[in-house]
Amino acid sequence: MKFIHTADWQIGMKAAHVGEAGSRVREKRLEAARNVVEAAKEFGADFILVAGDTFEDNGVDPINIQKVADILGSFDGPVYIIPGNHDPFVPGSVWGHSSWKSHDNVHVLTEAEPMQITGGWLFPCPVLEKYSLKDPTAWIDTSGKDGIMVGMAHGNVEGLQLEEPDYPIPRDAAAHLGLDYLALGHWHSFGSFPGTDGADRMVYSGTHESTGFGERDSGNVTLVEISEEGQAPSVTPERTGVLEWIDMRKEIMGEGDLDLVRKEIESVGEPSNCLVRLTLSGLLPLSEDERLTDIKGVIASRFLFGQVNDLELYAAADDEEALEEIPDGIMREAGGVLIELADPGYSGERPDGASPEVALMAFRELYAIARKQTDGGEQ
Amino acid sequence: MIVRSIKVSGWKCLVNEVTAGPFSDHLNILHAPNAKGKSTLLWALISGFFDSHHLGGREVEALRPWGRALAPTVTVEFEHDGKRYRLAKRFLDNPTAELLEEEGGSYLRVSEGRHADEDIREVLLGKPPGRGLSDTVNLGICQVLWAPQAEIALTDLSHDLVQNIQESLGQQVSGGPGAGSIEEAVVKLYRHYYTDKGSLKKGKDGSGLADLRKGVNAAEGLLQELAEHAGKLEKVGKNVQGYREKRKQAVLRMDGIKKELGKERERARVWTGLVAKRNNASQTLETRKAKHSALKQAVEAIKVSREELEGSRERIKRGKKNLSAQSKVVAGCRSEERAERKRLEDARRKRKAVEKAEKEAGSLRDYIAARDGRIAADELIGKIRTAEEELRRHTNKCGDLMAPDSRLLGRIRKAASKAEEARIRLDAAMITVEIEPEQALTLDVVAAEETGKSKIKPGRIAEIKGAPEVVVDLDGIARISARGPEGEIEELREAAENAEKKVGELTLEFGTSDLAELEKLNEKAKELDKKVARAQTVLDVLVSDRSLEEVKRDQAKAAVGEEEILEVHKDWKDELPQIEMVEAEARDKRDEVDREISDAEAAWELKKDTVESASNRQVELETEKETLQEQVDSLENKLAELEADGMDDKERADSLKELALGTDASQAALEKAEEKLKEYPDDPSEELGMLEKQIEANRDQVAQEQRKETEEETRLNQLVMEGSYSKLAEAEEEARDKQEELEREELKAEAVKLLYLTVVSVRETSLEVVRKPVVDVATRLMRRIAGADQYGISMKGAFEPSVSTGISSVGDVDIGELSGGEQEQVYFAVRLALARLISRDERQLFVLDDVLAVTDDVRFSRILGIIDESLDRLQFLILTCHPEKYRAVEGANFIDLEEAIAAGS
Repeated sequence: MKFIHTADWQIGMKAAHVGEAGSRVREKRLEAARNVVEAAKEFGADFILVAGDTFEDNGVDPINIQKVADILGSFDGPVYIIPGNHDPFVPGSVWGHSSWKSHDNVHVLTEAEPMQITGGWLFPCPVLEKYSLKDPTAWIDTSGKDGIMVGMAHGNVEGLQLEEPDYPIPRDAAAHLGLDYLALGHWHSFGSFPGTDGADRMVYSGTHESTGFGERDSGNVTLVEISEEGQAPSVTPERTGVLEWIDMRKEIMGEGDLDLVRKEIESVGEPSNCLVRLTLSGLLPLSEDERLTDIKGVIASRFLFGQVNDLELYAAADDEEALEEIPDGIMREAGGVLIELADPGYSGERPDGASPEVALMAFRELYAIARKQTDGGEQ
Repeated sequence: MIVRSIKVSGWKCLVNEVTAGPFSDHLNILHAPNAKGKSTLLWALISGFFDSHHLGGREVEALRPWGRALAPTVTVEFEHDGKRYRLAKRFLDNPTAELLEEEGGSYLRVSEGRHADEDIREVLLGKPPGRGLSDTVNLGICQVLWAPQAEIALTDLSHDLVQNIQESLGQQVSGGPGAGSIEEAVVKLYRHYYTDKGSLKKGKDGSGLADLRKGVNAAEGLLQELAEHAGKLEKVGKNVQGYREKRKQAVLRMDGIKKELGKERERARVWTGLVAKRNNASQTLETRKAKHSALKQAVEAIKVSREELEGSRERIKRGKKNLSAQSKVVAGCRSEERAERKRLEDARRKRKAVEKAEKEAGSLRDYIAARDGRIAADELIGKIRTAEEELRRHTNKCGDLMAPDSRLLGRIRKAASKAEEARIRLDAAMITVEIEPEQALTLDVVAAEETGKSKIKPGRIAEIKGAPEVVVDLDGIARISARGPEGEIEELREAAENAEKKVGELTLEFGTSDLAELEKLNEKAKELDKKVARAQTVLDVLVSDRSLEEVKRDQAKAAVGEEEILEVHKDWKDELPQIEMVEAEARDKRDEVDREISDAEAAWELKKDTVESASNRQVELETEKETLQEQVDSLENKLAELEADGMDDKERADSLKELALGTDASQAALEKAEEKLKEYPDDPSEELGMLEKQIEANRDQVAQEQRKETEEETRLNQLVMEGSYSKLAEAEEEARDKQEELEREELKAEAVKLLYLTVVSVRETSLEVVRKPVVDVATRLMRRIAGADQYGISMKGAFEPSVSTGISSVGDVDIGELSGGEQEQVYFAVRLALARLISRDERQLFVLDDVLAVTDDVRFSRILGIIDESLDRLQFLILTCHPEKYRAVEGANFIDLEEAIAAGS
């Protein structure tokens, strides 16, 4: 038996943290969904299991439901889907949409009852409400049945660092229930819970497409192969994600550091599928300020989404050269005052609203004007 | 820089070429009457140094003389850094500019065109305007050195100039090249975000920050609205689920009830059969019991009727005997009653004698009353008549007496007083001649009040009065005549006569005009009036109850009554019995008769009651006898009816026994049926009805839940179609973008604000240092001009002066509050102080165009002294229409513009 295990597509997911790029991120999730079907075809999977949270919410735009149904309908084998806690099977849920009836191969399993599949039995554990403290697999009874026993559930495997987990699933559920494989959904990263024999019979496939910065081991589906009843499954993550979420943290220590950062940014391939978050810290010589502006421009224009966080990047307070570029007299003296205020350790009295962050920006403005005048003058 | 000459042509009113100069190093007075072109010459100088030669436009066109196609040109010869230069500019038509430097007596070109413009500006540290002719701020150090007409005040000095002054002062804080433009850029940036008052700009001129805030608020509002909408989907879904669950529960409940209903129907069927059996048994039992009871009652009734019939017949016999005895008792009682009635009638007949005695006592009482009434009337009539007589007597006396009343007496007194006064006046007006002879003589009064002869004895005095003359012949001795004024005496006499006549008229009827007599008469009349009043009062009291006529009538009536009684009781004429005794006898008789009648009445009443009681008893006995007879008849009828069943006593007893056995059998059947019914504690049909109602209610509930479910499902489908979550996601992302943009802009606005405020603060601190030497010099100059040490000048901003006058209560005053003369003097002092500082390294041209116009002569002469002292550093060019004011300055160079114009033409 060979099948694709996937979950947590979270179609229609909001992505407020990337602002206006959110709509493109959502499109990419659908694109990744097509990759799931393509992978299933490529690996000759008998069927596809979608273990919950196909949609972010039951209130997603119905067009998304049709699109997902069409994508899954394009697979030439059966697709078994259970509702998850984001899209539970309740009145008004996405599962009541007529699109599910337009593809015979797509089976939305809304009842907890065994289903005979090619080579064995499938035990679906649909989620019928958003929150529950019940073990969704508790009903499974494999006794008296022949073939490979596959369970599909959505919940939290016990032992995860959660106070009171929803839909708790015993860590030994597969062994305890006599399942050859328990396809799990809910967590976005790939993860398995090997049994006492070391076999991976309980696996989180993770989301097929990463949902944000810092999410590890996501953007995959799991290719599962079980040779026969009782044998350890072969579990292989396969890449389906389109987006690359690059969370870059750099410390600037002196001149030239920003050039290195820029080079690294420019070396990123397929920028149209990349979301970049650059966090800068350290001391920035003011002579580098323009370079910083350039980097911000590159990040904003080059990638699907780009963000530079320079709140922890302070002006190099001892940078006399920067001050030297401001004409001597009132303006330079004002610049000196602002540099003092930009120092978080400044012990004097601060004017209203003169936080180090504001003072630093004020100095940068002054510096930029001075440079502009100088350049203009030179021209 | 100092100027040697200025040549202008085609420049406003200076149509032809005019050359002003040469100017000396020191004081130059360019003078001409008004409107001759002094100020035009100064503006041509300014244009020459600061305006670009290639300028066009309406403003520059205005330089051309009106109606002439002449190109404005200006040529200035000046010295700078020890060298002599010539500046030549032509505007509008074929514009040119060139700067030439003198070398070996001839001028060599230094620069031309735009370069020449820039080089020339550089001399006076000017800077080009953005467009059009130069403004004050473009004039470099000339902002201080040159004061055009009516513009001696210092306003808005350019930053560059301030820095130049700082440089001249050698301060370390002065700004380097370009600092001014940086500061202007900072100010511009600040103005982009903030108003002059420091608040954020709004509207179309705003930085967009306010719009961003508005946008964020709107996005958040939309977000909240969409979140609420998205929440509805879940809520309505739960509602649907709830209704669905309720409906399911109701169906389950209905199934259960249906099962119960089947069981209950079977029980009800069995129960109904048992109830029917029990009812039949009960009915049979009741029928048998009723028959047994009826028969038993009939047997009992026959027995009782027979016994009662016997008793009644016995009582009838006894009643007849009693009735006979009672008839005798009644007869005896009636006889006694008649005897008592006769005794009563006898007693009542004695009442006539009593009434006679009482009537006689009454007559005696009437007689005494009539007699006493008549006597009293006699006495009263006598008193009334006496009183009437008295009244009549006093009234007559009053009528006889003629006396004035008090009012008339008053009038008489007044008239008498007037007459007396008139007489006194008359006497006083008359001539009085007193003659006291020493021997008897005869007087013949010829003219006087009283004329005629009379004799007078010695020692007597003869007084003769008269008017207007008194003439007395003294027989044989002399004729004495005395005269007085004429006229008045006749008036007095007439007045006296009139007054006396009035008295006579008032007193005529009283027979005397003597006032004392009249008063006596008045007193007497008053006394008589009092007596009449008293008599009238006595009479009124006597007739107050009854009039005299009424008393007389009462008297006559009493006399008649008296006579009538005596007619009947003639013996009373001889001796009148005592009324008390007569009345006592009558009373005693009445008491005795009344007591006797009362006793008789009581005895008779008693006997009447006895007769009535006996008669009643007799009637009762008769009624009793009749009742008993009726009973006997009734019993005989009843017995006949009871015995009409066709059975004899034995047959009845047998039948009774048979009915008792049947009743026992029915009782046993009933008890058996009830025993079985005890297995059913409640009526199963009631339970059945309740179950059927429950089923009906459940059916309604199912339908109701179904209806609600359908309604909510419809709502739910609508919400699903809206895709509310997707809308929310998009709105949230948009809001996030806007929020981030706002935060960025707010941070920038804060930074710009801090930058601006820091620059302002630093600038103010450095200016304070720079201003001090200027303030010191300006204060010294102003004190000299005013001739008073109390003047003090302070400064803020870019050399904006304010003045302290030395009056502590006033303190610093704004320069605008000073008089016009003081204002121009202060500005002159400040300009000169700054000019002295600027000219520290090079002599500079200091121009005053018709300023100090309202300064008084004393202060003006002091200013001339100061100008004279300043000639070591400054070249003065003073444009004025009053050159004579400067004649006192030694060595002044006077240039007549009119002459220069004439020379040019």
